[in-house]
Amino acid sequence: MNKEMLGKILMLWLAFLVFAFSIFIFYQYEQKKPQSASEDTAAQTPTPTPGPSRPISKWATDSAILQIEEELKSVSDSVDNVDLKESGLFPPLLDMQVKF
Amino acid sequence: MRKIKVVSLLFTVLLISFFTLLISRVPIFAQTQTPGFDFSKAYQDYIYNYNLYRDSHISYESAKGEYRNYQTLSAQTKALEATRDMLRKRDEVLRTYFTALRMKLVESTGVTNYDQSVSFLRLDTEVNWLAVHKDSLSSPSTLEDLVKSSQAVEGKNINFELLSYQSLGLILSGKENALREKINSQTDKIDTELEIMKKDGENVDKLQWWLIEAKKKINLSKDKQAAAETKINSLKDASYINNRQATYNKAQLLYEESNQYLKEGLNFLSEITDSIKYE
Repeated sequence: MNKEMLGKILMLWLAFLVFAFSIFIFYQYEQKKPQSASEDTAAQTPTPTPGPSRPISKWATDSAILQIEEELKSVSDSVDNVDLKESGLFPPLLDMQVKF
Repeated sequence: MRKIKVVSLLFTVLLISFFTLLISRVPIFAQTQTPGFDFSKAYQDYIYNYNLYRDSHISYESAKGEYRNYQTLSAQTKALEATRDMLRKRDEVLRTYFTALRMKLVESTGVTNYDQSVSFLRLDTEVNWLAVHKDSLSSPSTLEDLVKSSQAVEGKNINFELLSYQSLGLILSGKENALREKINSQTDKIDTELEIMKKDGENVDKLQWWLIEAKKKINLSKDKQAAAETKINSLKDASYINNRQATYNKAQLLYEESNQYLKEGLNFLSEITDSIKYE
C-alpha cells in the first residue's frame, strides 16, 4: 500500500468522523430544543363559548319547587348508590359431608 | 269471706308470676333485644365465626387424615375432638349468619310487616334449632354419632339455602320499595305544584304529559321487581334445588333492571323541575 492510498483512506475516515459528529450534535440539539408552540396549545383546555342563557321563570324561586329539586337530588343519590347485590350475605360455603 | 279474698289474691299473684316467667322464657332472639345490637355488629359476629370455622375445618381435615392413616386410639380421640369442634363452629356460623340476615331485615324499611313477621318466624325457628343442635354436640359421643349429627344439618341445608335466598330477595325488594315510595312522594308533590301553576294561568300540558311518562317508568320498575320476586319464589321448586345461586343471580339482575327504570323516572322528574324553573 503506497502513501497516497493511505492518505485517501485517512481522508475518508476523517470525513466519516466529521459526518458522524455532526449527526450527534444535531441529535443533541433536537433533544434539548423546547416543545413547539403548537403542542402547548393542544394541551390547553378550550374554554366553551357561553351559550344563550335561558330566562328564569317566576317559579324558579318558589320554595316548594326548590325543595322538590333538593329532595330529587337526595333520592337520586340513594338510587345510584343502592347495593342490589348483597354478596356479603350469600349463604356461607360449609363442608356438609362429614365422613370417616 | 276474708279467706276467699286472700285465696283469690294469692291466685292472681301466682297467675301474674306464671305469665312473667313464661314471657321471659320465650326464645325470641336475646341478641336483637340488646340495645346497640344492629346489623353491623351481627355481620361482624358472623364473619368472626366464619373465620373460626375455617380454622377448625383445617384442624378437622388434618385429624381425619391422621386417623385414617394410623387408626390409633389417640388419633381417634384427636379426630373426635376436632370433628366435634368443627361441627359446633359450623352451627355457630349458620346461627350468626341467620341472625345477620334477620338484623338486615329489621333495618329494611320497605318490607311489609307481614313479610317481615313470616321471615322472622322462619329465621328464629332455624336459629333455635341450630342452638339446640350445637348443645347436643357437647355430650361425649363417638365418631359415628358425630357423622349422624352432621347429617341432620346436611338434611336441613336445602331449607337453609332456600331461606337465605328468600330473605335476600325480601331485602332487595324492600330497598326498591323504599326508593319507589320516595319517588312516588316526589311525583305527588310535582303533580300538586303543576295544579297550582295551572290555576295561576300557566300552560302545564306538556309538563303533565312528562309526569305521566315518569310514572310509566316507575311502574315498569315495579313490573321488573315483580318478575324478580317470581324468580325468587320459584326457588322452592324441586327443579331449582341444584341451581339456586344461578336463579338468585338472575333475579338479582331483574332487581338491577328495576332500579334502572327508577333512575330513568327520576331523570324525567328532574327534567320537569328544570322546565318549571326556566321558560
